[in-house]
Amino acid sequence: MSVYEEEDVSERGGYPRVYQITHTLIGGGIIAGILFVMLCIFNFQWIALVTLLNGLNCLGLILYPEIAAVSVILSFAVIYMPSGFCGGLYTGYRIKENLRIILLIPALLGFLFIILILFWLFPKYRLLINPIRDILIPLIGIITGSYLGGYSMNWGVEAEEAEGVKEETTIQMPKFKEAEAGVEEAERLERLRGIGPTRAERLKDAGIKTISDLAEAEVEDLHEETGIPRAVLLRAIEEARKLKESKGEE
Amino acid sequence: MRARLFGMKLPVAIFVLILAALLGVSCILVEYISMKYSQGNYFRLETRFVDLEFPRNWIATAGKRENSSGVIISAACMSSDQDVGVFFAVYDENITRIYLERVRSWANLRGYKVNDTSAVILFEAERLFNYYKNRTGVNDGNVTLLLLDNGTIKISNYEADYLTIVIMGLRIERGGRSEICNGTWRFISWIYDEKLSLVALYGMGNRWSQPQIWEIFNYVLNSTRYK
Repeated sequence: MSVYEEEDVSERGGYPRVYQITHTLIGGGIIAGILFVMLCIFNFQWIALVTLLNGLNCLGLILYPEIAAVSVILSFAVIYMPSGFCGGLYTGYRIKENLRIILLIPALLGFLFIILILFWLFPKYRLLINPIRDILIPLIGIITGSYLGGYSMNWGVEAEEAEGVKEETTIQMPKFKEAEAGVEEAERLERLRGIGPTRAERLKDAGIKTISDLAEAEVEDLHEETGIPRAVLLRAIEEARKLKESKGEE
Repeated sequence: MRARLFGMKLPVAIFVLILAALLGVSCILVEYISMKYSQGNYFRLETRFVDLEFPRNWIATAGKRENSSGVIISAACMSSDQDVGVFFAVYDENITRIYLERVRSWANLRGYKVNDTSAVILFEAERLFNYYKNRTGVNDGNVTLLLLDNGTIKISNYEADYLTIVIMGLRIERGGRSEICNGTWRFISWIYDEKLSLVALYGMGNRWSQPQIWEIFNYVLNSTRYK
């Protein structure tokens, strides 16, 4: 894939569509899998309620209708939200862009998968469904978990992106250490959009010390080595190549 | 965007906080429901058919079985390990008549010259013994029956007959392991207003003889009210 083709991809979100679909599907599968194990195999809903009531020396309350509300709250906390969190962690680990939309998909898919599994395994389940208890609350729990998981995976990266954008607007002052190292101001990586001191440091660790070095690098290799998002690298490499070309013409 | 809370990334911290808050709300709700129904160390279960008080950490249930012959109201409570428990049943007039006919013919066949309530507890004792003996589908020769004592007892102002039995060599499942132990049952029966009442108390192993268990039995028996 050429740099120009990749640029189109980056404009769509930085990742090939197949890659996004595959990993959101896997994320949804993780959510459904965890829900299946917790709800159908271990009956964790019941275990959590009995454990709580036993802990509070109130096991006898289990037959009172009011305790159903506690069961719903507990399920939200220990089943739906954690399963969404795990799915979100995976999706967030694999996909680092457009998280606002991307993280919703595994949550919805996971919920859909588990509903289909329950319908298939227990045909009478559809007759017992309560729209609030069995659809709305689980869905909110899974979506909340998915967003928290996805964003916790990308928390630092998001911060760096913000830092990169901030640095684009600030005047870059040459640093004493670099001047001492003999790196020309014109070759400083921080001149590029989206590259701040942290990312420049990571690139240096990967052997990219100047803009000329970056112009010859490959997006995928650098992404693997530094963890910097592809879209940022793509833009920086493109800029580096243009700068190098203009320097050559001079 | 770099914000951290308690040394954790913000989304992780929010996740943990929501989890803790919901667990806290669950505990508060349980305490609130518990306050609503508790009476000292006992919970009060009021149904359309029976009012029952049982220990806080026991499990209880109550129900009504109805068919063309009549109605049976039942309630049960047992410890969480199910080693100790109490079972109640009240038969309406019609069911009592049908049931007593069956029990009398059973007693006649065996040549027992006893009153109706004694025949009922003997009948139920034998039925229980046969259940445990044939539970696995194979006649278990290790399960034996011992009649411990019988007599009369006063429960909620009613004069009742009782019979205590021990079923020895019971195989029970505990924590995924099979154990052999003895179980003790006391059947109590009385008839009031042509309605038969049957109570069964049970305890596995040495739980039967524990004084605190007998305190519970006495409290439960004397506080239960049928409507």
